[in-house]
Amino acid sequence: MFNFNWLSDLSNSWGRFFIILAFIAPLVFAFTMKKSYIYEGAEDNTWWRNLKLWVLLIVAVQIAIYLYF
Amino acid sequence: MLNGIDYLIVLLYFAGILWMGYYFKNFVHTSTDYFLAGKMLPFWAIGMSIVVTDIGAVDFIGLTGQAYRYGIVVGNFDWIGSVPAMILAALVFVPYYWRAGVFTIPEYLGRRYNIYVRTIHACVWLLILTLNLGIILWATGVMLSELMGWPIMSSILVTAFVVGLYTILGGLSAVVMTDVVQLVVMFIGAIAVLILGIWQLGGWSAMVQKITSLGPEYADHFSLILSPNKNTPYPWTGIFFGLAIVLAPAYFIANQTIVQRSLGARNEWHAKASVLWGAFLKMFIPVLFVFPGLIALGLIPGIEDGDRAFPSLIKHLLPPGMTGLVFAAFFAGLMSSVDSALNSAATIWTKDIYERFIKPEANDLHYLRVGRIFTGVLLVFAVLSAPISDLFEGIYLYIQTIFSIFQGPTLAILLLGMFWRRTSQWGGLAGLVGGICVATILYMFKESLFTIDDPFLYIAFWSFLSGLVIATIVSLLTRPEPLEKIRGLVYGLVLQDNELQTKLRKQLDEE
Repeated sequence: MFNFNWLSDLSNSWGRFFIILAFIAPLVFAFTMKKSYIYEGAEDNTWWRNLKLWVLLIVAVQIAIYLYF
Repeated sequence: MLNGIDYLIVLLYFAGILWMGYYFKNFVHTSTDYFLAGKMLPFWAIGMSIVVTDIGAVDFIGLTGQAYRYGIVVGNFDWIGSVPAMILAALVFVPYYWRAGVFTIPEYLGRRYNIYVRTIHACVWLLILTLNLGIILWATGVMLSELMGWPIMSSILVTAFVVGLYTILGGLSAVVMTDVVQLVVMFIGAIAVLILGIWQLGGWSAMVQKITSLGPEYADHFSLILSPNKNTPYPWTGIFFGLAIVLAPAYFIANQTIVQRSLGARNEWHAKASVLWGAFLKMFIPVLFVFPGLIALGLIPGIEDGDRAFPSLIKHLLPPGMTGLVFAAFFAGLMSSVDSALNSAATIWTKDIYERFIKPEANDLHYLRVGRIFTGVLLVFAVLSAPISDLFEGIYLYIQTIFSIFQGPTLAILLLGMFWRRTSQWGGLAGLVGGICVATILYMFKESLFTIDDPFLYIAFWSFLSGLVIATIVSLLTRPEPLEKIRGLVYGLVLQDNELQTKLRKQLDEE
């Protein structure tokens, strides 16, 4: 049980699925946050200071990497 | 291996770093300036500092060596093993630490739970950071001695002198701003190796073809997901449950050396953005430090000791001048790890131990002096204790074991404390102590409980789960914390009014 042997029958595709899910979860979480919380403390509300877009960019690159390798 | 121009580059690098450290001395007037850079740091500097702090000199050799042996799967540590955790840290934990106005993670835990949780956490961190310093210095000294024939103690003393000087004088500002230069130097050095290597191999496709044709054992060298049935230390189950779910969040949420930089941000947006910027830069680490291992395998197959891959690659690839740059990058990795450990240990000692138990009512200048003196004492201790690391082969393993035993339960009580307001102070204490006990028992019986040699990823997961369950049960059996105590410390219980928050903090400290 401690070795997760019960998961050994799952294919690598399931592994990839879980890992991609681990990237999507924080992305969804970020997009549920209020705009005021995201911009809290920012000097202005220009589009590039929207941290949701930063998260989107990072997650998109990571998902592409895990789909390729 | 090095010639005149290489030595000149390394010397110039040392002189530049020393000058920068000395310059930032002018900005240190209070303990907040020293420990939190006067809360003036911009996001881009903090993000770069977070990344370079995470990559040590030993990683140059270690990561490349592991990639040579196991392939691109090692990149998981910087991708799934960092990025989701950093996003969570950036958007949830760091803003709450920043709003709480704390200097250290133990201080946050003390406010959320009680003094016992704070003290246990502070003492364990202090122990880990102190012992680790000597080990980092010794391991790098040994590496330089083997590669270059330099005397071990000379390398250690020169590094300790330079790092000590700028860290003692300039505090966190000097640490972060020298880290920025160190990251640039490291990236330039690594990019040079990457470009020259891939060019010599005839491009990416040629490299893949060359490596996979080496034999069936190299078939998975370009796969990030490995089956648990394979004989590998990095099956996807361990990577997902141990690394992504537990160790990575614990590292980026509960690690004082990482979080302290963001606490020095000039405002809340910069604190959040710094960790996201760090996550973006972190995505390049496997490209710069794991791919060279694959390049070495393509160019020089058959090296028996993977740790020789990086030095062999430098010898094989780089012209004079570039070798000096890579060595400067190597020192940058060493110095960034040492300066961060020194500064964080000094902060924990001064804020969580000295100010709390030894001299609570002293003025700010006194704490600034204590922080500087402790940094110096710690460095002398690290230099003197460095050779001892050689006497006990297992000491490095012991430190890593203490670290991994501690991380799962710490994450459990931080998550519960931040997301569930019902978590009580006794639940937090029981979760931390109980989780540590479970992890220790699992380590003691690891031969009979686990099928792989070093099951630290699995132990981290089970100790995290135990901490979570114990903290939940004890919390439900004990009295909930009053709302006034946890306001501003729990997600959803936001307190934007700084003046009110300071008043509340003072009131709680008095209690």
